[in-house]
Amino acid sequence: MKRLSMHLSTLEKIFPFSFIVNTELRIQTAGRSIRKILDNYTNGQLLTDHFNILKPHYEQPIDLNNYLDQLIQIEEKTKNAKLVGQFIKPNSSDNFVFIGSLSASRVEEVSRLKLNFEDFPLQDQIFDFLMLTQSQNRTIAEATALNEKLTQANKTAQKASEMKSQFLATMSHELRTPMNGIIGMAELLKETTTLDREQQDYVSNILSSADSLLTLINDILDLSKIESGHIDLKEEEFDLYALLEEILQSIRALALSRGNRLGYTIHHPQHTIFADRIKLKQIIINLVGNANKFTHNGDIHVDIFCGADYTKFMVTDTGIGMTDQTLGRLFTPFVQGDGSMNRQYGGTGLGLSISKKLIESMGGAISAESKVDFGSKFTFTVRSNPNKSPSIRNLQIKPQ
Amino acid sequence: MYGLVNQGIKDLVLKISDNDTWLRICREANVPDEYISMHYYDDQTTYRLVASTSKELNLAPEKILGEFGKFWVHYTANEGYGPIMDLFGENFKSCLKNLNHLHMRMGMTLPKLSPPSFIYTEISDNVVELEYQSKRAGLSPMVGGLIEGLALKHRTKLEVVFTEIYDRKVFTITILGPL
Repeated sequence: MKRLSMHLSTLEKIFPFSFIVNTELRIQTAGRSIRKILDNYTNGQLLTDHFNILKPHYEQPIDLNNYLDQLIQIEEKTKNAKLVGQFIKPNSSDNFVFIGSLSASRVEEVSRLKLNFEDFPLQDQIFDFLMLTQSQNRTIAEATALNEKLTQANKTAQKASEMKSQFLATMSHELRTPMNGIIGMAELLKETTTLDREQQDYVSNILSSADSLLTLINDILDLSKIESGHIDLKEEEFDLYALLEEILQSIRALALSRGNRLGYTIHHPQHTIFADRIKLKQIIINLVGNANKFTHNGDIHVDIFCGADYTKFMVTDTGIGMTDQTLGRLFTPFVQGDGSMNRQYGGTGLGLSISKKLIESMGGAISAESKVDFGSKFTFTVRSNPNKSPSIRNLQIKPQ
Repeated sequence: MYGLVNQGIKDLVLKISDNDTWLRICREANVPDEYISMHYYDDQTTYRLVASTSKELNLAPEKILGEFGKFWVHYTANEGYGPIMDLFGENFKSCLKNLNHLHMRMGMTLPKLSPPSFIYTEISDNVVELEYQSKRAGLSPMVGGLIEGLALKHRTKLEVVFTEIYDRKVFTITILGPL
């Protein structure tokens, strides 16, 4: 016993939470940090006067032999301080030695017991654990604050975007009405009155400028409608062959005036798809119109591949082509190939943005490839869901 | 250094100036104006912040570091580390004595920290020496400020003499009594 006590006093520096219990469960001696926790402690008091054994649980009466070589958790009865450790039984003695340390997950549990750094052995990792816990709490608090900030910023940006779209939609609508009046009156002036050559030129200029302005207003209205989420798809079954004929017919005169040849190929016997016909027409007209604008004495061709759920369209031209830099900003609103294109070729720079958004609303995607002086190729897909088509007709593909 | 340090510089700037000044400092230093405490940033970020703060507030970098060291004790306590710090010393002297343990522990928890080391020597009842060793250059004034900050926290009046002979940096601290 004396020998054990001496060992304990020598070792209590590294085991300040240890104590020795005899076979009658009386505490023979206790380490300095245990003495600090226990109220009115004197040697010889019963283990059960001060502690409950929480884990593992055995039936009473307590026999410490059951607890040997097991991780155990004990709790001080007055302050509810929890200790974790193990009982060992030195060969030379009938006594049991508890070797353990405080179990705490919060700093406050340590300070509540009036313990400090010096009450713990240097090798005890409780401070690392407590610091890590505090760092984790700090990180969680920061992440929560950051998340709230981002959510708020996102809401503000969304609201600003909705307000902008709403404003543009309203303004475009309000501008279109007087613009129609200007065009109508200018047409009346041209058609129903006698004008000299100079006056006819003036009126033609009014009409041409008003047309450009109306196109811009319509494009802005389209874009703002799409951006504010006001886009309704009217899906129907229709024949691609008829649609392509209609589109190319409308653009044929313009293409001829620039010396361009138009053509199309449908690479599947099935011509009927299920999609929003009007929007698809708008997209193809935009792409073919662009191709015609940037091609002179060349070829413009539309290829159509009908898949199980999607239909792929490719619009290829042999025009002036684009640099990689230009390709990168092609689908940004109000941005054309480069600054000079707007002046040279006209247009608002909204057509491709609108087409992209319409394609995305139809469950598809668009991409572009190009090489300067060799031409461009725009590829897009739309969800066409032919399963919804009641009939699949084998129509003859129109030869090129 | 971990973002907590850079965020601490921000808080110090906000304490003595305003947010516009802080944003100007960050722009001038070409560093972010927000930091995540437990994210590790290149040391240059902190050095650039100190240099830029010094320029903007028209104070010598040593003065900025000293003020920051003093502020650090208060700042870390406010950031939730106060109760842990308190466990490392209930008075000024025990805090200094355990300063190395505290930094070693932090170094184990935050693996990229590379904390400084301190050797504490008690010369007499009221005179102690604190030798400071660090892989980082130029931060001694911050340690001086830290000692002042600890003294302020424990309401202790003291006199500090800093000597640097070759690479040995020592703070000789004379405790004059309570504040």
